[in-house]
Amino acid sequence: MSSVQESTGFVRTLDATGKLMTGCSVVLMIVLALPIVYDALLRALGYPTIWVFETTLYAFIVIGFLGNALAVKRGAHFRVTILAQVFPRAKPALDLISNVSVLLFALLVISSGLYFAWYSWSNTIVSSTLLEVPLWIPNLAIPIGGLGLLLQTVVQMCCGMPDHGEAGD
Amino acid sequence: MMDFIYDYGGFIAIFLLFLFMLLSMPVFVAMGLSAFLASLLLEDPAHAFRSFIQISWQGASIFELVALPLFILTGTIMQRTDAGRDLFEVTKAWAGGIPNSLGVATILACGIFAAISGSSIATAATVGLVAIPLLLDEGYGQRRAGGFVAGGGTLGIIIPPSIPLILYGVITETSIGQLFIAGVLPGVLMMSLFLLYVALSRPTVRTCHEVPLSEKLRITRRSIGVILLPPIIIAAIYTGAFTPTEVGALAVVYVAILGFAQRRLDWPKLREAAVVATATTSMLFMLIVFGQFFAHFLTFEQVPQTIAQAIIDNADGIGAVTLMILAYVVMGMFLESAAMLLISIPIFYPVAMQLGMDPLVFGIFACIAMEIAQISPPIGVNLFTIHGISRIKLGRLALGAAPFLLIQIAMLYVVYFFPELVLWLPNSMK
Repeated sequence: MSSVQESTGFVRTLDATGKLMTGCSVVLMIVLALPIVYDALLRALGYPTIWVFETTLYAFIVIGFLGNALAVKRGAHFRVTILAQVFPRAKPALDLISNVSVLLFALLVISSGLYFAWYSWSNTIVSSTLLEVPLWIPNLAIPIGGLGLLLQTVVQMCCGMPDHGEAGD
Repeated sequence: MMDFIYDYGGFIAIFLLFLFMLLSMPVFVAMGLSAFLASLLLEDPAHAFRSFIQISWQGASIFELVALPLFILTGTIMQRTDAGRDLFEVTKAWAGGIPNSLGVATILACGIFAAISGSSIATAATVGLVAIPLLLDEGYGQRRAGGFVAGGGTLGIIIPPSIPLILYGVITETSIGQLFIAGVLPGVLMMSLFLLYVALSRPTVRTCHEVPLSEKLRITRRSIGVILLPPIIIAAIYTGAFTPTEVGALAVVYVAILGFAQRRLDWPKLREAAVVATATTSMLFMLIVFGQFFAHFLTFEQVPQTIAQAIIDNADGIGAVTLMILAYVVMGMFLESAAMLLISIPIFYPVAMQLGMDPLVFGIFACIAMEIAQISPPIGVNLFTIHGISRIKLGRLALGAAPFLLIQIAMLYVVYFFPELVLWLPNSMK
């Protein structure tokens, strides 16, 4: 196993795509509280906004899906590792099963997410609020997040699995 | 064959879930794939494909979930501003000369930090980093030093704000504000029982930390910004002034401004806190989204109703509650708390309702059961967190945490037999 820096250009490109998704989700995480505080204060004064509720929900969904690349990289996704602990020699096989299952699942998420976004776009489905946001835009977070899951898992398969539990600190 | 599949489709999904988890698949993948594969056996593939994404999207677009990243970020910022050290200094000063005062101070610091961060792991890690070396120096021994922090850390789950209570509220469509307020009295009672055990635990350590009143006030004044946050959070929700999501956002802004004003927070630390919070949020988000899909499939296949009926037919109230407690203790041995919540609530919620439990009471009951999972060997995450920061052996930590585990099991029965303890405060909310 090698580090990302020592890997081929292909793996480095995949990793860079994951970093881009991570960057977007981290920025959203930092600013997420601000519009909610703004809305809470305006609501207390009797002037609630019409846009905060919906935009922060979509921001949260983007954080959740696009943050997958980071979660995979930091080993944050929880796995039961009892078999690997009891039978250490089976660990490489179990890791392979785990990674392949994630790849298959990511393909399912990407394909179903693309279908969902296409369905919203072709039927001009909008949110049932005053903003009337075309739903294909937030729907796109699903396939993009699935892509992050897929690419980062490929990187992990090429460069080694991370230590688990970093996200919980 | 097809009859068998139609009759037991839900149970096939449960079997696949446990098989996939045993094969080390990430839990959210195991949940999504097992329900999807089982639905392929029962439905037209195109319909199964559409249901998968539609129900998952519904699980993602719940506004109450926005509170999750906000409270997680509050906790990760607090970890990087030395708030744990300050809180511990305050509780140490006020615990003074009572027996096992440093242990008592540890539990108090855990309780206050839990009331800000809402996270059991963040509480154990932050307070443990400061408290364990001092506890070891004073002669509490590795078993008790680690056990106190592991046990105290679990208070993060029940004292509001609480991340598992947000998840429970979303899954069962129960008011998160009411759930937060419902957790206050059981949380205080549990902390009091923990304090009592720590003060009475043997051998007694009689090191005196008596400091003059003026010094106590000086230390407290230094941390007053952090200490005031829990009562403000509870009061804001109790009075209905702000929703839990708004309180979460205000808490993020408050701790960030406080950190910058005290020069304990800078942009690199804020970025680091946001990175950790993003990874944790994404992990929980995927569990929630595909956990909801799994739960929807089970409900559609009438599995929870069947299990509930089987339990009710074969056990009386106390027997059914004992069965649930046993199931939680066993699940806690190999499942992390959020995964345990998402798997167990769809199954046990109908049982609890049939037993006449209030949704708020069962919410607190389930979250105390989650606390048990945090300190149950072999995978109790609090044990691993403390092992990671102190290198105390897991076996010793598990022994040290065992008395807290017994107190939590007793609390489960207390909550079942005395629901007023949970319901009194939320019933008096505005």
